[in-house]
Amino acid sequence: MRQYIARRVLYMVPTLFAISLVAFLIIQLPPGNFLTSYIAQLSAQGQGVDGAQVRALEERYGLNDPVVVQYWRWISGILTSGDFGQSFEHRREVSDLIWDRIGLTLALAVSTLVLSWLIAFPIGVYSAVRQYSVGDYLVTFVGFVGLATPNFMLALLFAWVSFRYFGQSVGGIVSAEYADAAWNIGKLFDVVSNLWIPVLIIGTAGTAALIRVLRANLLDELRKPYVTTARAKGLPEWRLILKYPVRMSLSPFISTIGWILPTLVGGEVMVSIVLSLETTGPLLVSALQSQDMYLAGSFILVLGALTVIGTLLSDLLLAWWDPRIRHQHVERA
Amino acid sequence: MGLLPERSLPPEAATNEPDEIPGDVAQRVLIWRRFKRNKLAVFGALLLCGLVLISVFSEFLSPSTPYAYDAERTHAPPQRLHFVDTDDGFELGMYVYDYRVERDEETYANTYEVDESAKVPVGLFVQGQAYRMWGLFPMDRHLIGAKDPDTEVYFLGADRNGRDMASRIIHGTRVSMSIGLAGVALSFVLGVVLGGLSGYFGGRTDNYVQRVIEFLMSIPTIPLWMGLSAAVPRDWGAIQTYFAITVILSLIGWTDLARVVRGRFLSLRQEDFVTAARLDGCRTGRVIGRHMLPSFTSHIIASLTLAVPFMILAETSLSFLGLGLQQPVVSWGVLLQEAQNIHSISGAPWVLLPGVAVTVAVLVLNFVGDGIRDAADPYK
Amino acid sequence: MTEDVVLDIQNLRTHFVTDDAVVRAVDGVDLTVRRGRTLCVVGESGCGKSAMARSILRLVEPPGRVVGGRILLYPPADTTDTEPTDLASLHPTGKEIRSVRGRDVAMIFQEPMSSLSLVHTVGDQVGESLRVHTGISRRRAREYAVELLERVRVPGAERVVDSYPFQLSGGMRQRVMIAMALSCGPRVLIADEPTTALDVTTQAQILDLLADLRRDSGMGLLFITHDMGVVAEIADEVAVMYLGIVVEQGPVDEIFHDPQHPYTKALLEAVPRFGASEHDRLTTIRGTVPAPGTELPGCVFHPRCPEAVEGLCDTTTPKVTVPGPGREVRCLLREGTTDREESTDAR
Repeated sequence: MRQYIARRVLYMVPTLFAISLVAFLIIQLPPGNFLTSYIAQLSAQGQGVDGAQVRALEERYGLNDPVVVQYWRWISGILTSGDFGQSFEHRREVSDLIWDRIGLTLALAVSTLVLSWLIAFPIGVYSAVRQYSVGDYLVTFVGFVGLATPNFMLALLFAWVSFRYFGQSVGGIVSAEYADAAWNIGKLFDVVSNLWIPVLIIGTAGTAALIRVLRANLLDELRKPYVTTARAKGLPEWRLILKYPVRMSLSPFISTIGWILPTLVGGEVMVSIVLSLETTGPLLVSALQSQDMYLAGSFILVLGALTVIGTLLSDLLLAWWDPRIRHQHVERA
Repeated sequence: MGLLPERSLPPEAATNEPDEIPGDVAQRVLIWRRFKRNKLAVFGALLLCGLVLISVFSEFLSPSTPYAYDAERTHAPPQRLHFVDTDDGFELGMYVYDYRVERDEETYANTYEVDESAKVPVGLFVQGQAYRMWGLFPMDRHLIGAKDPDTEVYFLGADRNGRDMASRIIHGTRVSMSIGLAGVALSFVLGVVLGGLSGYFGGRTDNYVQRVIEFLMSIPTIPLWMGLSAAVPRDWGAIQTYFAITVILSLIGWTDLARVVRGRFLSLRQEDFVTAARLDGCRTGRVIGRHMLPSFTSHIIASLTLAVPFMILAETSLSFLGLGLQQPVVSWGVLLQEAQNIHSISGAPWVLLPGVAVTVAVLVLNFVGDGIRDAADPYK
Repeated sequence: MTEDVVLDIQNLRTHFVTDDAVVRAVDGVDLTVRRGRTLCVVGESGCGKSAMARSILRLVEPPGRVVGGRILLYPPADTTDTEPTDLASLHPTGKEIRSVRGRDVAMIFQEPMSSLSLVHTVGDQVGESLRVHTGISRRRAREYAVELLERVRVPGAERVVDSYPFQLSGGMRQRVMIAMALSCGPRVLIADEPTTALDVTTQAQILDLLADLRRDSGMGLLFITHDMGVVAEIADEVAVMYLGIVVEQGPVDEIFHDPQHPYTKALLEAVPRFGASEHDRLTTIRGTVPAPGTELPGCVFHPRCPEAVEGLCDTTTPKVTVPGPGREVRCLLREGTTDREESTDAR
């Protein structure tokens, strides 16, 4: 077991490295750099920029160094002092900008994951055990629609309905009166009460996918011989279903966390933009649109790293849950 | 010992039946038979054919062109099509009611009211806005439209520039569906080649490809897509952007397909007929192409069908944010950019209609894909 | 003789109703399992022996269903209650059948790997029957499980009880299955091809074990197999099944030395024999079992029968004839050669 954890953690290192490369690539990819954008902006404002000043800035940010050196400077700054670079648009340290937002994104993603599980588990089990019942058809249909509707469409519809019928604009996780307040019970309660709608919207597609996965797995498992064995022992039907096939079908279900997390983070970004929540989404988009690349790259780096850690956690959870993985048993296919 | 006796039958039982042709053909026939039994899948397949026809004949099927605008008709509401005229007696014939337009002098917003006294006759194969069919043949006939060539009808309302939503959604179908297909075609090549290599050779190759797939799957796709598309230069033309976005979508989207192909290859590698082919001295390419691929074509088709909707959703999301396709290209996502503002949604809810088109298309493709998969593999 | 009967199956019929056809997997089977004796049901793949075995505990899954007949389970000899329970009349998921499963009638299956849950410990699964039927604690169940494992000669039972099935060999897994089935001291043990997936040495060990256990506990053993060698080793009585019906049954020696039905003869000839000349080809049975759902007029075996008589075997359904004490055969060619006939309502 310890060996397994060690190996999984070790596997993470190249992945994290690759993510940092991609994030850096995104920073480097657009033609020019933030300095050219800066100069362009200054010229637009009618301010002249003389060559010496540009060269001084280039020198300072090392923009003429080889890419490898630039990458090294960037990543070592992050690793040693948490310095993610400068946001050109906001004229602030990137690290000042992102952590609050990422915290909220994380809170949203995790609560969505938990909620999706709580909803998907009983429905998935029911729908498989009562295959082809009215309830199963209903769940399947709703699940299909949930999967097929883009998250942001749901958010738009929701915004429209609440504007039209309740006369209020939605948006904001933290209500105005708590905006500058320090964290306390009232603010926490306020955040929770504002959070559940985005959580529901972000969760739709994921929940639908989870239900489908669980239903398909469970249908497979229900036909396996060990279920008949358990039945032949005289176990009551529900007890045996919960103890054997459900337990088995949860293994792939747990491993879905690995891929559902990236989807949730993505969905969160889209929904937050529509509902203008103070999470990563809107800031990331505006950073990308204004080519504020250090800010954008840092977001992608941190979100990617968090997802990888989430996947690791789900793998460890799976190993704890499934003795076959714990004991390094590979089932012959 | 199987519970159902038919599963425990030896395989040669089928060859004893004189009316059952063994081999590839029978398999295909069987799949088709099972597919036909799935009502939802057949329904989906019919709708899909409809969507394809719409994409192919967009210009002719639109009542107008996607770019014809009318400042007098900004955010005009949808006009209901009437078939029977009961005003004086009973008369068959299609028509819509005209609007009474009032302009708010302060906000310049038009308010519309249905004017039941003014009828706009509607006909089939009418003359209207001039267009070039497939960008080649100049034409001006439209399947449906106002009989008077100088009048426009708005079955699905108009956008903020007074452009016909119906025509725009129909043209959007072509762009959105084709980007889905093109993206999947690219993913297909990547997925089959890499997944096939990984599964066929196994060992170290497999390990490397698996690491790459795991890595790509572990990154939140939407931020990554956003980052990459933001890097597409703004001054690129519509066609260039279109291809760039397609490439970006498929660069990330091939992983699922590769996993399916790899899994199949891994299990097929153990099969006796593959070993037999290899022992017979077939080259690797022939073993893969002639012996292995045909045995899971249907799975690949199913996976491909199921991958198209993801591409469509991704394109829609990106374009909605303004990071994907750009005006004047008309895709469902581009059209939905109009719906970003809560005031335009509340004033003109029909700007959300392209989203309905997305949902329908994705649903339909899912139905068909699931149907093919179930038909190809009834025991899975 | 009758007081020894623990399980009496009368005219059992189990059908699978699908969109295309009705598959009569079991179509009028009569069998009797006696205390302390082994009844072997033998036949090719697809002859309905598994479906028959599963029907007894009502484990046939939809679209399969027990559509007729009686499955009489007799109470233990030492109780005053002598009325048998008809398992065929019970609800397949009801409480009554559940109290029979694992306690009065237990079952072991062919694939010890897939028939055991891989994510639950051996002890958990072996002791589960006891916990369900007697409500003992988890701790007591584990102790019993160790005892049971020792009884089925699992070495290192104390260690095995806490391991997972995937850590055991095939033979060990089948022993675990047997321990599981024995846990409540059943009166009937149904073994559905328990040795098919095992290698020959292990197979012999398991057969010995089953024979010993049956002798010690006095339970009736219903043994399903397609292997005539296994039949010779373990059976007291043999029933030969073909296409959902029993074509011949009787004591094992008589079946082997004087087979009456052409199908039984063919099965026996298909067994490789020690000492046979290497130039002799192994006899096979012509053709294969017809596709399920095919309607055959006359005798079910006539398309493959070397002795079939045209105009008789393909038109008339054979009745049960009794060629000797304790023997039955269902063949038109044997009809009239014996003095006693029994009518049958199989179809």
